[in-house]
Amino acid sequence: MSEAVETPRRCKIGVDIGGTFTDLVSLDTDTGAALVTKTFTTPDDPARGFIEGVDRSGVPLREVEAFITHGSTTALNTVLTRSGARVGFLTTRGHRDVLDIGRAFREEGHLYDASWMRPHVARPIVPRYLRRTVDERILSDGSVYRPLDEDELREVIDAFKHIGAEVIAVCFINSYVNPAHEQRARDVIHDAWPDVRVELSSELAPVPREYDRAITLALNAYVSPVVGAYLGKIGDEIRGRGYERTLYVMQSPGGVIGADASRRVPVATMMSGPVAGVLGAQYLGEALGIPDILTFDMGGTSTDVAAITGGAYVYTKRHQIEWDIYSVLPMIEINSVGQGGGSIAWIDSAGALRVGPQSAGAFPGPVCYGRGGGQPTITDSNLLRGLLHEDTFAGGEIRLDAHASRQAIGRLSEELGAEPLAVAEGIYDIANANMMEAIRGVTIYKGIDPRDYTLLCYGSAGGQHVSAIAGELDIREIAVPVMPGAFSAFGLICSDLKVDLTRSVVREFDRISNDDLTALFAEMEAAGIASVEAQGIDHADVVVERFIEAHHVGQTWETVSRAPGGAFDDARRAELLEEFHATHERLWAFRSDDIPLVVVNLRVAVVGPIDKPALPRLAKGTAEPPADAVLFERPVHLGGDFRDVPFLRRDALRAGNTIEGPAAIVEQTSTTLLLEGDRCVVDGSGTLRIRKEGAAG
Amino acid sequence: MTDTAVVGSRSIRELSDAEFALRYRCDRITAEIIRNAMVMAVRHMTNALQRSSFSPIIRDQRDMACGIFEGAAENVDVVALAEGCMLHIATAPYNVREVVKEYGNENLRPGDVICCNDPYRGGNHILDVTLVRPVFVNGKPEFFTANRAHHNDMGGSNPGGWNGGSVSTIYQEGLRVGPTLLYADDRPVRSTFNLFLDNTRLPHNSLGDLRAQYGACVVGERLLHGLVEKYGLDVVKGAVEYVLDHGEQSMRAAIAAMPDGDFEFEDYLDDDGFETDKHIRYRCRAMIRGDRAELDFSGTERQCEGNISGVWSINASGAMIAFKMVVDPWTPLNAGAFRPVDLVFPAGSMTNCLPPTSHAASNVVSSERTASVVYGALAKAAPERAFAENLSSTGIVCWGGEDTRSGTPAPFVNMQLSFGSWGGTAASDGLPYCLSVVGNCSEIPVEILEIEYPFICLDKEFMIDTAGPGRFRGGPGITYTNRALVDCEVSLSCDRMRYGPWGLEGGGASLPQALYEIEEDDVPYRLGWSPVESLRPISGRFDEHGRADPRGGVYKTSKWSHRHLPAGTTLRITNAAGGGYGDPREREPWRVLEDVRNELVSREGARRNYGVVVKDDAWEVDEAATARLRVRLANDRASTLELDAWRDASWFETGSRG
Repeated sequence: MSEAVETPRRCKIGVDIGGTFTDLVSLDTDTGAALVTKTFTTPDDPARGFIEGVDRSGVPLREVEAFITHGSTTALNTVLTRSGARVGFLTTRGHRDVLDIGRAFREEGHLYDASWMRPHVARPIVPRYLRRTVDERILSDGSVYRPLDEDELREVIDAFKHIGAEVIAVCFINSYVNPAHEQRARDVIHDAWPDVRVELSSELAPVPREYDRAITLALNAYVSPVVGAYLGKIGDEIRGRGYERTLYVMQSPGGVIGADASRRVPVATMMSGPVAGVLGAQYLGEALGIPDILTFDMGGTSTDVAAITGGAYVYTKRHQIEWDIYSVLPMIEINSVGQGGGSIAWIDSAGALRVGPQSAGAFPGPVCYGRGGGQPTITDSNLLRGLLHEDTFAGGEIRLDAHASRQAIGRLSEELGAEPLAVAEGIYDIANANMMEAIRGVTIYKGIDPRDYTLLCYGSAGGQHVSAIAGELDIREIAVPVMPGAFSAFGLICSDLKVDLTRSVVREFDRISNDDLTALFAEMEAAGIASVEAQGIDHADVVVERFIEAHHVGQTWETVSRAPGGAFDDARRAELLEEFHATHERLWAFRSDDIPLVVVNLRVAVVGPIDKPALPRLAKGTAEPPADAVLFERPVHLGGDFRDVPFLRRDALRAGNTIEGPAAIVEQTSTTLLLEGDRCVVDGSGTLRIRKEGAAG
Repeated sequence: MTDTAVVGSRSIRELSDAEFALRYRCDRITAEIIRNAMVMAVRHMTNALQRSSFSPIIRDQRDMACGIFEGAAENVDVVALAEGCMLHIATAPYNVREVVKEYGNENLRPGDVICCNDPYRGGNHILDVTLVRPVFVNGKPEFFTANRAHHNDMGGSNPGGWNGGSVSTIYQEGLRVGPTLLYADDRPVRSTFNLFLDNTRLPHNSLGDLRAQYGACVVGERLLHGLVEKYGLDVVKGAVEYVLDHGEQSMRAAIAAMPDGDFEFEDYLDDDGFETDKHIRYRCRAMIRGDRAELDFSGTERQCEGNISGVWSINASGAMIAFKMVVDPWTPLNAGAFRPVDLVFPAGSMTNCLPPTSHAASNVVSSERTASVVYGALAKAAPERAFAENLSSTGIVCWGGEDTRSGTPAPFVNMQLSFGSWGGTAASDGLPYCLSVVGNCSEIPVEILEIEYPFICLDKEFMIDTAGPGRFRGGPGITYTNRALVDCEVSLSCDRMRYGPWGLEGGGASLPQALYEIEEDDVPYRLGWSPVESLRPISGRFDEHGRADPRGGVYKTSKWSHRHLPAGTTLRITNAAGGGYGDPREREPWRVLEDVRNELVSREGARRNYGVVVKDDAWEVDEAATARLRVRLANDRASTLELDAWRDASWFETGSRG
């Protein structure tokens, strides 16, 4: 499945392992020429599909400058299938069940269900018999209330050995204030059992709230051997093929680190796949001069969206995989919704049509794949309406069975008493509404107006929906990058080196002097810059961002706001304070200038830019697309009626070509649908720039 | 049937697209989209309130709820509600309706917020303050955004307002405020703020919380305005009708699937804190007829002297939550779901107390038993959908005092909620560690508790051999031990201390709850539990050794207040496990083995309650011995007496080895 281009001289390789496909992008760093290799993902052992992609690409690895991948798929699958390590979980006497207790409340949408079960109880990451306690206790001020009972600890270590624990995770109450007992416990464990891996909550996530720390630690320990083996295996394989440099791994907060460092904090790779797409979007936005972007990544089972404002993305601190199973390490905020091409349409007990979140996945997949799927999906309903063409889907790799889709939608339409086409349109509209909610989650609900943004569409299924969604949200600008189906892999090679530093302060703002602020930020920045420089980045190129995480006295949840750079004087101090109040008001609709502030953390992100690939340059054409670009015209069901719509080959388009909607632009990995009133101009990089002329304003 | 128009009497499913459009002024898809958008908007309001509030009770424990309402004064209906704390969900509509009716549509202006905490106007108790904001479209209040949040103190004689066994009227409980203007033109009304802040022990908390509640109303308003701008008022209002009809029809279809008939159930509260030797009866007759139902609480005892009788709205809340859990657990709740169910609460009874009775604790006591008798009655109609009893008591140990850890003493109220476990169902074991089914609060993390309050949480763990045995067992009981570092004034508002949660369909009951004081300093740490000699019984039913025992001869009331405890006092509450569902001798042995390995059931408990023998030298079931034992237990009629977990009381003997 390679698009044959001549082998690049200096290149970078990014490998993105998705639910269905493993995408390898190798990019000539001089010319920007790209080679995409697609293989099927091998969920039982993702390294296999990875290596197959490497071999098929034919790129001589000796000449590769950087090799970048992510651990998302492996880490996430390990958790979802509960196939991780046997973790011995050691905690404070009296708190054995912290992991089963979670946050103690139930999941929205299941509140009236007496049989609902907390996922960690139903399918534990660490079952109760692997959780042990020891007599020790530290108080919230860091003082020792009960010393660590080392004799008892040795008995527990023996028990862990006996049970066959593979990793030991230590999480003591209040260790975030005083880690002495956790550190001493590690020493005792290593004396008794030198070769066992020991992880401490005070090192991984030194934050208050014992459950937040415990579950993050448990996940990290749980996935560590699997992710370690995976990274070890692909590292060995590519080294065996001549690659001699560092294997880089994408991190959930954005940026890459070396595989050895990544193996210590594998939980930080958990969302790094979708994050790569956001970094790609950030880079593309910078190159094309689009500062405000909403990413719209619709794949087979889910849609991921994120906001980039003024070239910067947003961080969050809680990513939940299942109810109460989450990591609290900082990551780029991505809102996911269970709507993808494979999402299943169904009818609820009161007769309302619903879509997802259940998905037919890659296997059996939509009915039209002909692999045994029987329930109609978004892809089936789009096929029925002609939004997709059966011959051009996935470059012809998968021949779609439109008849089977029609039958499956027909069963729904009988039950609903509506025309099949009306049902298909309903599925489309409901799916769009659900995806719009995800977009609202990162915009309107955060006090951001999506109309000021460009919707950047990638992922295999997004092109069929993006114009309709933009229309509903009154978004006027859409961009569709080259190779939208492999854009996340592209994002991997656009990433910078990045170091995030957090310094816990926990003090009233009035008690932090200007000199303190200046010194603390400067100290953190120096450390971050040194770390980035050590990896070969020139100091002059380094970019630094500052944040404060603060709340009013009495609150407990921090509001994160930006802080000005440089040395602090009263004017800068006032600027910082005003930024906090303004952020607070935007998010929570009130401000309290009269209630003092507590600064919990200072945070600094140090970014060391890495040479980016040049964007591809597309040959210039006229406004009129070349005649051979039009494949055919065929009827597409739009706005309640069929009308003939031209289908164009994207690889035949030239810079400057202008296409008026309705039209469909097809390529190997995706189909982009233009609606009435859309005007698409192909820019010099090959990006489709769509403007919705019909939209207000 | 009613005489509505032809279209009106038919279900949504049966309507043609044209009929649907005629009735709801939009198409089906738009209606669904608007419904979903409203649910999400309310979730966002909830998030805003939690993240920006100032008290642990809201920001950590989530004792609050948000909603969007629509309609004219007399029939304001709830369109969408956040699925936070359940009790609030169902009383909020009554409260908002009363507020709007009394304040008057004509008096509302854009930018207003009205507040109210009066339980007799459709509320819970005076501690819950409701804020209502009219959302104006074209100069008219078309919608309301509202939220309700618990404030940790509203004045009165006891910190926190939990006056078990000590007050009888609402006048003694604290500040009571009818519908009053809190914000005008988006500016705070100082006199109203003063009214609240001058009458609470915790003005520093309430000031920020009232602002946060206001903010959440505004957040909801912004989102509603966006919807109206997008779709037009007429369409949004049409969609609201659809939402309510959808809720109603879902409920009707679910009731129709239940067998017709009359089903009755009785259960008891321990006592009212005054007459401590007298339990209090609740009774429900559930009448199912086609797609309608009536729940009649006649036969429930007269309102009592203590603070646990419930206003009708709080009991309606408990009743509807219980009804929905058995009959229609899968669809979101809105006012439409209430339409096919009639509730009969005799005036002056425990389920509909009359002014000026005190009832601050009714939401954690009366509503619980109202719920018990509803799902208990419905279990007789449809045992396969029912569940064994959960802890069914949101017990509250409320500590008040002055935090002297820093230089400046600061008043505090720590409302310690009791988390226990749920009963087994026809298909699953009971959920461990949760509030009872009528509540869904979160918990203050230990580390936040210890920053916020002068306490040390010594344990918070499952107890072995406490769960009601069954084919599907209940969730385990919980021990929770807290040590106060300063002098405190303490109250207890609890139940299920005299009678533990019951089993269903042959499943066993579980251990009743109990409260002990532990005096010896070192004890709580010695292997994580305490020898029974060191536990001094405070509340519960005890045998001669001081162990919790539902047959015990000594009962000490579960409702008291104004108890002064010196610094260093340690209280341990043992919260109830869930009852078992089905005969435990039919429980698959591998599940019992897993429970034994996880130390939720002892080897002895496995033999006695489940007839399962676990090998001594391996984690395996001794199949042959198990088969023999199960035959013997089946033949031994008296063995059914052994089904109740509390008989073992093994937690007291062995503790839980962590």
